[in-house]
Amino acid sequence: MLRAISGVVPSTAEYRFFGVRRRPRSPEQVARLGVAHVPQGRGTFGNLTVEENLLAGATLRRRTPEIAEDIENWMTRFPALRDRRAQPAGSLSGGEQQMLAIARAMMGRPKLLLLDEPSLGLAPRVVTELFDHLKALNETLHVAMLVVEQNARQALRHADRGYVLEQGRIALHDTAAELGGNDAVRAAYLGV
Amino acid sequence: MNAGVPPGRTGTRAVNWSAAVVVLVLALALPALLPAFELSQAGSAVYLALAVLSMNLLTGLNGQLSLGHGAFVGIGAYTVTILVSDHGWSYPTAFVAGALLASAAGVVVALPALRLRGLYVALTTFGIGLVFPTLIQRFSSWTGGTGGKPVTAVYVPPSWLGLDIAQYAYVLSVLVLAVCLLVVHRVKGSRAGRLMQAIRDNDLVAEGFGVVVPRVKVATFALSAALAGLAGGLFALQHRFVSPGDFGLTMSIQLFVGMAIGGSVSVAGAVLGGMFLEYVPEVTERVGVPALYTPVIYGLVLALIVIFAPQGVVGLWHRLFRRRAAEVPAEPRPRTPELAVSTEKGAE
Amino acid sequence: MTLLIQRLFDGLSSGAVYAALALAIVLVFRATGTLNLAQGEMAMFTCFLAWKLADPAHGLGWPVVPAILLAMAVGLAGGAVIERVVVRPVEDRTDHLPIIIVTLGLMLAINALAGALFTTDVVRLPEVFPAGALRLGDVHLSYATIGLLAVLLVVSALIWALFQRTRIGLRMRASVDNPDSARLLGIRRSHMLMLGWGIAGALGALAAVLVAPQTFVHTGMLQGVLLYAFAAATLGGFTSVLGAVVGGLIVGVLQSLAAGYVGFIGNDLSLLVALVIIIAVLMVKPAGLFGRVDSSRL
Repeated sequence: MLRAISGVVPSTAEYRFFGVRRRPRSPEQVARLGVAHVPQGRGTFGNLTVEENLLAGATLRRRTPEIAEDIENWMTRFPALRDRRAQPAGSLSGGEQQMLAIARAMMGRPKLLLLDEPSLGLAPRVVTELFDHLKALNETLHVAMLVVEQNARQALRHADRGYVLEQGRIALHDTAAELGGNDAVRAAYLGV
Repeated sequence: MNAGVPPGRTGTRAVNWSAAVVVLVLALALPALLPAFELSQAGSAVYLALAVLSMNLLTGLNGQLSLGHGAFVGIGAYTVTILVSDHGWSYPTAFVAGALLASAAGVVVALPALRLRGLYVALTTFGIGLVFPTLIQRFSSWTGGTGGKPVTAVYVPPSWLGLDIAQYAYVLSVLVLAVCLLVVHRVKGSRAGRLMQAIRDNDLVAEGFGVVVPRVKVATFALSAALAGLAGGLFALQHRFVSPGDFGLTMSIQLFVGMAIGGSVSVAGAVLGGMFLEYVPEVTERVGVPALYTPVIYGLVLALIVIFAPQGVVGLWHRLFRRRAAEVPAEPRPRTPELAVSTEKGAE
Repeated sequence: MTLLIQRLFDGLSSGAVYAALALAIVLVFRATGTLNLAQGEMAMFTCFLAWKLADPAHGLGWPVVPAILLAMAVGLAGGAVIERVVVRPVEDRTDHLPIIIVTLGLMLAINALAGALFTTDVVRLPEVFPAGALRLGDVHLSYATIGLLAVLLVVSALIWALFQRTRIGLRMRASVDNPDSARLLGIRRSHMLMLGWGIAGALGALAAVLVAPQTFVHTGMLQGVLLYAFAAATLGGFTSVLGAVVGGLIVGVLQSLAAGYVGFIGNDLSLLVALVIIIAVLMVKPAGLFGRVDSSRL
């Protein structure tokens, strides 16, 4: 579904973004709307260095000093990235690559961040860290986030709202707190 | 165009034998109907068809690629020329020798090709097609070098036939082509043919079923090269002169075009391909396009076929050389979203 | 001994040309994942263009360097257009064969077009480098050779800088590394492809123009060179820019030495050397000297 939004997959959908109807045809166009998509599996540029990955994230921006400043800020927020700034991204651990992918996506200063299964393949402790970071970003940088997650517990713990999809349709939507308390949801997805 | 063979089908359509016989009789009657020049053109179409047939066998049926098949044609042509002119061999034995030599060369090419992926087989055979004329030039004491070599012994027709030399050459060519078409048709429908096509469609699966893939591939290449060598022999028989430039990259690419036109899986399509190669320059020149531009047309045709061809030709190639492992479709189909619905938790 | 050194220098001289064309081949391979068999013919066409501009008798009589630069520019544009119009419709991420067939058709078509539009004769391009040579003992190091190597050095450095130090180079590398991710960041894949082929076209033009003094200008001028360039790219590794340069020089030297010292080969069978190199490398170490083993490509 996320891929349909970002135009990776052809779709006939149109949607409203900040009140304006949009029908972009390609990922490049979607990116220009201020939507950043962190794909499933991270999608880092394995052969490029960490720093180059971040730089690539700023493709749509022009002001070089600001870009450089942003890179430094992200490295501060994720120290592991600073330690490995000149290493090829492929040599990073799963969790580090996820941080990199998020930072890279954020380099474009998007208004909306799409995250596709960010917890996939990550250890539980790392997942907690990840979601804490996401929540922090959401609050401090005011970037909206749409997260597709199988790990419902973590997702609902940090989210504002939740949408349960079945067979391509929205089956349930509510605030995260309500969903977390919903017995059917708990039985089906939270293993309670 | 019999190009639309669905994947996996062994594709022996019911042959309209009566039509085939009619065509054969007509072809054999041409010496009575056509003057010398037109007849020689028809003759060229015949050996080109045979050469295209050899490509159909290799690529269409078995899925192997050869961008340098002109070399095998050349081997056949030069072998016949040399044996007949310099060593007094009879034509039939020289033909056999030419086919065998070409076949041996085919084996030499096929063995390393087993280990290479499609792209690199393309590169290697391309190189072979390019290098072959230089080999001819190098051994000029045998081959006459750049200047070419005339065929000094003539295949004299028996007098009771009432044909002159050129007509005899034509008739023999038609008969050789007809026999080869029959042979390939039989092979296609045989168990060997099914093995070849199974390998074309998915060699890993074929291997799983116990097919000794390398053996079949090399054998197919050998047969294909033999047919090409025969075509070369016919070239020598008809033209009575061979030169290195005749069997270089241009011929190799032309054969590829001929195969693409006629439909690579089709046996009869080879005839179409041969006719296309011979008559299109003729036709376009009549329409006002100078002969110089003919290769442009070939190139365009090739590109157009690859881009727009009916699923048969392009689909065939897609199945030939696509990565076996995970059959990843080019356009991912939209997934039904899973979201928090993990499969083991009883989604409804 | 002096003969050896002489042969070495001659080899480096032709190697520089192979390297330039190999660079073009590598660029296309990195961008599109396949081999452009028409690279030589495209280059030949632009060389004819340069001739048409620079030739005093049959052309416009321009000075030779501007003619070359314009030819390179046309190579750039032409390469981009060909990618967009001819190659793009057949582009397929998993199957690189149809494109190679299309380039085969292109090769045929462009060759004939050049003969028809320009001439089927053999013509000459005015010299770029001054005649004469540097004498180191008995060894002649022609100014042309020095010039060739200098040009190769400069061009290689420029290509390296383009890829490693510019934003657009970064985008191109990202696009090659992970096309989907690059698109999600807003990198226009279409532009990257056209740029790759365009730069390759310009490099090809340069290679053709550099080899023109030896081969003269005619429709078949680069057919042999193409195979050497492919040998260079194979040896160096199809994904490596450095490999193309080093591979080109090695192939040039090997060719020169083989032609000189192995009497059986002489000049006639030099092409065979290229073919043998290709086969040998593909069988033994498909990634070449500097290439990355990418299982989806090899």
